Amino acid sequence: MDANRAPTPDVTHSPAPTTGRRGPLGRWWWIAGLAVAVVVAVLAASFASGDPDGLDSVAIQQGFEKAGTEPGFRVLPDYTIPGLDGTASTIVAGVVGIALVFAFVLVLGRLVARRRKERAA
Amino acid sequence: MVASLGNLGPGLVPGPVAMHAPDGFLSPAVAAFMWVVSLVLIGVAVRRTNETFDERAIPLMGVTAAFVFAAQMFNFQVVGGTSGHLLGGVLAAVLLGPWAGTLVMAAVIAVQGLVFQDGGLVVMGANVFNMGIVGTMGGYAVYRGLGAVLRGDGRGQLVAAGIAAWLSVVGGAAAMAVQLGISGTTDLAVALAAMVGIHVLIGIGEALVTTAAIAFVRAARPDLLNLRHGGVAAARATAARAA
Repeated sequence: MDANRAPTPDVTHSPAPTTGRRGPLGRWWWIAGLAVAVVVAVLAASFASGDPDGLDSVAIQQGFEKAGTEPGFRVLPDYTIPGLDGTASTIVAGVVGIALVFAFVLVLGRLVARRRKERAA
Repeated sequence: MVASLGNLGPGLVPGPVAMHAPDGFLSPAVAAFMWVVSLVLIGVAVRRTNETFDERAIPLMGVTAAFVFAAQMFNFQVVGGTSGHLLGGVLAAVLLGPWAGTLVMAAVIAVQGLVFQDGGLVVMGANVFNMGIVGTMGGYAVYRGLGAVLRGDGRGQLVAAGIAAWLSVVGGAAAMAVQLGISGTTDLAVALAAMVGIHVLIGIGEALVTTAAIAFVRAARPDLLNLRHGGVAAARATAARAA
């Protein structure tokens, strides 16, 4: 597959043209990576600090936090599932977010890659 | 990081708080200008990703995005009732290169704003620049520069990544402060001192998590760090052996 691509500085260092569609990450490795992300989200839902972060803290200290406006729409506001309370709400929201971000970036990556194929063809 | 997180104040509900700039913090002109800057740089990132990124490494992009999203939910206590969280720009750029790294950070910040109401839509260009591009482009340049000076492929590169990660947080905070100042939201000098002052500490967390994550990848799958230098075949062999 590499041999058919437009030559680029990075790809030309490939040791040998490879075939097949399997990615370098490997299925079990990317499942493990997503599992790590889910664990981090669960830990965040359970243990993360509720204190204002750096920017919010400065905004409060300097009295401009009121300048911030609420968005005119709410989907999963502040990492919660409407109707679900407490830690469980944030855990579910976190897992939904991980799935969404993962899927979004896969689609984004494919779109960028497809343009390359079309140009090379 | 988790061990130091037990000191929650009384009455505080554990859990992520809104952490990105909401709409209203920046003037429309500054917000629009930052949208243009970020869109131009994202355009460059799309083109460069298109030219250099091996499409078979797309799942690594997805996993990196998922980790950055989850890690940004994790606010850790800093000092005096203030928390901070990972940005992840330098981490994404070290794993994926600055261009695909930029796309990952923009995607994460877009989902946070659109789905979780974390970060305003009008100021999203500023958030993408301050929390993403400062790290993926600026921080990555620092990482490569320091890495070349420190040489070797072991500890020196980890130190370079740690310093770059710290600088990316301080730099992003400074950029935010300048935008707040120009917007007339608050006094520029005061905002700059306060934002840099607190993010000098938050950046230590960024440096620790970035260094630890890269050290982990280096130990478990060192081949992934060489993907952009043609290591795809070697990486696939490693994955196949492990499966």
